[in-house]
Amino acid sequence: MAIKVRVTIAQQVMTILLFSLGMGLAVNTLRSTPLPLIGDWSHRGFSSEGQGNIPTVPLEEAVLRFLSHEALFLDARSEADYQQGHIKGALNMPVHAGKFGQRLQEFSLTVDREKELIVYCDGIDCSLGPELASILRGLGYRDVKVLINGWTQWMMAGMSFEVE
Amino acid sequence: MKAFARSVLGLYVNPSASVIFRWAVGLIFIYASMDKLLHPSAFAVAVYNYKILPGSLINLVAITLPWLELVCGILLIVGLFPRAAALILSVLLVVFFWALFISLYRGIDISCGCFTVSTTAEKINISYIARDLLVLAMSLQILCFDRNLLSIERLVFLRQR
Repeated sequence: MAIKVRVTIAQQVMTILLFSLGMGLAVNTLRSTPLPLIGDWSHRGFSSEGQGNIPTVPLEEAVLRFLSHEALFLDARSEADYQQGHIKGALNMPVHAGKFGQRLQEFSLTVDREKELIVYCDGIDCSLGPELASILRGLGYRDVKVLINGWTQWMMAGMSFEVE
Repeated sequence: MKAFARSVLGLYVNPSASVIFRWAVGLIFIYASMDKLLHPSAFAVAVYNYKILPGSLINLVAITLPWLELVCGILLIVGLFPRAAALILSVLLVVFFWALFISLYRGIDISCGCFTVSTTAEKINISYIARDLLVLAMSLQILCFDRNLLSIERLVFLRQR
């Protein structure tokens, strides 16, 4: 005799929800660089006084981090700007370009969440850097700083750069 | 005109139409889940760009929503818990409608994040809302009129009799 199992729609819905939640969490944990379950996406701007939640880094310190090879520099400007010249060793993460999603994915799969990151663009009121920093923090990168007016400052300091 | 409307309505409430709709909605959501499953970080940014969810929920949604879409899509096609899956997807589609509507109303210039997570894909416009409502209509049809034709549940049910 077959056993008749009656499952209500509500129970089915709960089953599907719990199963999907479990699969999502399990697969995320198994990834080499899992997304943090709760990301810090709050973007309250940035300031040198530390009122915003995205800290800035003064040029002198950025130079020290550069010379000691401790920080990874990220160029948030367009690919064209990047190719005309960028901080030596910097990666291009063009926030508003088509490749950004792909770049970001590769980046988040290869770069450790603890890595020290310094983000820059060009101009005092350039918002690309803070935007990129905010996104990176949301994805779980803890140590992200913005070098305001980075490219201009870097050139004026006569630091090493490369052209691609 | 009345006769035409009646015949369209007749088709809509027909349980056989549910089979077609189950496949259509199922394939749509399986396809939609793929890019998000492969690129959770990029999907998180797409969710973030809507500026609707509180920051603390963004990653959780980016991690679990693609799985929910995939699971419901598969269930619809194989015909296991199809009405529950259609109920969940209907709720999702209403939420998507609301998110799209609010973003258009606010004039936020963002890409959909529906089928591709690329942030520079085409920006959302009114046709995205129309597409959402079309899929919602199919999903609601399944919820209301599906009778488990061509489904695992029917197979099991016939065995038991």
